[in-house]
Amino acid sequence: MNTADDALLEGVRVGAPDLASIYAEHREAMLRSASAVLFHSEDRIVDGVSATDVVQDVVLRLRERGLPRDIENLRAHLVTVTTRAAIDVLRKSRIERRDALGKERIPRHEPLPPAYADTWVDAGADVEEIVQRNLLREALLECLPALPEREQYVLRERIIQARPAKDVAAALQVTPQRVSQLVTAAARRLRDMLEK
Amino acid sequence: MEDSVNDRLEGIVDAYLLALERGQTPPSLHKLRETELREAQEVIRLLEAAWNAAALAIPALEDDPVAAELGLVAPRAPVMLNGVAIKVARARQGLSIGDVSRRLIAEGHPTSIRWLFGVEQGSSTPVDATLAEAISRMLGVSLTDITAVAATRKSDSLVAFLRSPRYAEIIRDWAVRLGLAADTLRARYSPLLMAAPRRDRGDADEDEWARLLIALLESGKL
Repeated sequence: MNTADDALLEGVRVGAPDLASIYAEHREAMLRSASAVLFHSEDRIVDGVSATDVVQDVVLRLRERGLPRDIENLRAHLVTVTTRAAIDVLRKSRIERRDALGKERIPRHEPLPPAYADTWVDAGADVEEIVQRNLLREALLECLPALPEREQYVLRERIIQARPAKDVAAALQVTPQRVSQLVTAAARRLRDMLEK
Repeated sequence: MEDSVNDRLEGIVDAYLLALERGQTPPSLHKLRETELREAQEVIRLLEAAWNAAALAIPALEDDPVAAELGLVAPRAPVMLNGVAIKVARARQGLSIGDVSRRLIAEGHPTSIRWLFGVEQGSSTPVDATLAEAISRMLGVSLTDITAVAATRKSDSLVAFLRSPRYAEIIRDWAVRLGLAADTLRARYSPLLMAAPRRDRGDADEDEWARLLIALLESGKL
């Protein structure tokens, strides 16, 4: 949690949340979380609902009902409520059809990015698992600046931008194997940071 | 020993990322020892969660309707349309006023033939920026081509102030003092600042905007 959040949490605790500042601080995490569930790239929408619509609804609800005063981690709370709201949209938009195993599937408007294909699509997918995945991504992005510069670069390019290893290696003038080493080292370091 | 564990983990991470890239089945981890397995799973879970996160859509703050609603960005200033320029551009495209009006309505802009006719007769009509862009697109000209001289001037200093920590701090303090939600206060006072006479001078600095905001808050002007 950053220092800006301390001041924002103070407002939440006294029942006067500064929603605009909270949104300014965490909008990207909220939008990414909705977007990841709705498997968006630039312009994907589910039944006319975009990630921005989901976030707009969440903010509206927060405005009307306020935020729980006992929140400890604002970003985690906002990512969680946004993810759940997006899952809700996805499920409501589902046209029931069953695969060979009798499992309900959410219709695919477009082929999903491989990373999401198996996790997100099942209508019965564990909501908590999806929430955890969004929380993990946001925690990683928050901790990223604390990594050594080279590891930051490799994670940004190879993982967050999903650039091929050989391109990242060429940019750094190292071998693709060295890129793998740096990715693994960075991921281990982040895991240790997140455990603390 | 440690080296070979690292090598194995790197190899697995590599294979996993390749599978993600190609949409293939991830490699099996069943040959790993228990401690290695746990570590590999944790590392992969982390990387998988962040994989291609850059592709997740985030609109720019200026294009974010929620940010606008919360007063984080100044609403876009209206554009002053030049009627003659519109009339000429429309004639070049071989479109009637009715054609343009119908197309605008089809795009979701609530206009009418009468309104458009009025715009063409005027030398400088203030129009919502989105609508002005739609008109320029439809007529195949740039926005500048149909904008009247003495177009709206942006107040960069006000925008900077509305995004500043100082603004947030004043709003927070007064929200507590008045027992109102900060965003309610923000929604009420941002438009007042935008409409303030100082805006036209364009030379107000952060201190001046802060003084004006506090004066408005103190006068209880809502």
